[in-house]
Amino acid sequence: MALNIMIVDDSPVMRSFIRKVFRLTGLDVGEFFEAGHGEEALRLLRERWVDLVLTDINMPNMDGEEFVRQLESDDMLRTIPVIVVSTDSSNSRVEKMLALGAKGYVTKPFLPGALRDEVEKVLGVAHD
Amino acid sequence: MIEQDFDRLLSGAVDSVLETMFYSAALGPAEPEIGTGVLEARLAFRGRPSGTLSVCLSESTARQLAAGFLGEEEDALTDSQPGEMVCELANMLCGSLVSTLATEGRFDLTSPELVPAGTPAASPDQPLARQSFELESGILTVTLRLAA
Amino acid sequence: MNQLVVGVGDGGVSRDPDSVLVTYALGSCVAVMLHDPVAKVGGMLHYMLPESAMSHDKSQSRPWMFADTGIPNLLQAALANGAEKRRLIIFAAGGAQVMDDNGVFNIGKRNCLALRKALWKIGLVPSAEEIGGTEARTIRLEVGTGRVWLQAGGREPREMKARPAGAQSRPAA
Repeated sequence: MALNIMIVDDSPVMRSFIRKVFRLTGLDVGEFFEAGHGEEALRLLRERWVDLVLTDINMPNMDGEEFVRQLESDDMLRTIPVIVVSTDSSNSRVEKMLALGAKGYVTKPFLPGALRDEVEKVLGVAHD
Repeated sequence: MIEQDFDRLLSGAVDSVLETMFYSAALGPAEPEIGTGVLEARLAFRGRPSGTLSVCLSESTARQLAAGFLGEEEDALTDSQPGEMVCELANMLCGSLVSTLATEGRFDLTSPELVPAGTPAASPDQPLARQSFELESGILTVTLRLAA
Repeated sequence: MNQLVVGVGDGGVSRDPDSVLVTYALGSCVAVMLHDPVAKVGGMLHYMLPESAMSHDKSQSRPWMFADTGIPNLLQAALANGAEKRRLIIFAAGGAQVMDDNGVFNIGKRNCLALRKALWKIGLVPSAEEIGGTEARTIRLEVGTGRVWLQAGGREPREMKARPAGAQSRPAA
């Protein structure tokens, strides 16, 4: 069953990088949806079904923290697992995002294998 | 906070970011490049302390690093990708740096923007740390300014 | 066991389940191994330098010498022998910081960066790696079993294990 993935980051090249990481997994990816900030992402999520969200924190218009808060307060959207991909490695931020409901966290800069492993862990699949 | 500490923190952040995602090593110090064909990205960080960070690379160096980052051939890159990569490099360097500065509380980073090279800083914050690094593909210059 | 030696700046693939690919004296050089456990195809590359552009005349005649030509070559050779890319398990070893013949000290590090760069470009990541450090290494890949044995510093050989899924987790929260 093909999975739809949403990538939320204000950097287009980072979104491309993350898309490429998915080719390292054995996952059958249906569609990628991309957004440059939380507001745009929420709009898209109300129109299309998504199986996994990866989001940055520092973004214009609506940052990742507010975005995750809004996801978790919506009965439908809260079921979608979220992985945070951010430069912020502080314990306080990581704890905050997990407490808000994020299921995974990867700090930039990251090796492609590290993101691949986090995706597989959050989705509960194995590789190799 | 002594300037030397910033130099060490800057080069630590550069090593970590370049090696992890850009497959590139800083080979040693260099003289900054001036003139046309240089891409510059700037962003601000707000917290304790606050300031700005800027990153400069020649277009040719930016293309080479962008190709490595994306795992593509240089001629497969779009026109905007080298500039976008310089912005994301600035974002990651800034994030790495603010994580290592002795801090209380949280930092917020603005979205990096490309500026015409040589544009003076919007506010001439002090103090200044600037380092240029020699890479295999060219020269990287990083400038850190802290708000007074 | 049929021992197939991969020399410095060389590479090769085998489908013989009784064979063992081996390469010696990995200093600043890097060995890349791939194995398809279903097709029982194994390949090994021992490259010396990061980029073929550094030496144009050699890049055509000796593609195995360089990470950027050797690694895609190794993949193509494995696929041509019946391996499937999605099944491949990748190992890497070497890239030690040693002084090479030209007195260059950082070639090991540059070879390590070139390894990840070339693998990323073809959409692969290592399942296990032993790179960096200062010791020379010898490495063996058993084509029949896919087991990889590493020997360094005159110590007993030990097996390199592919990292299980989920082992690389987020930084401690």
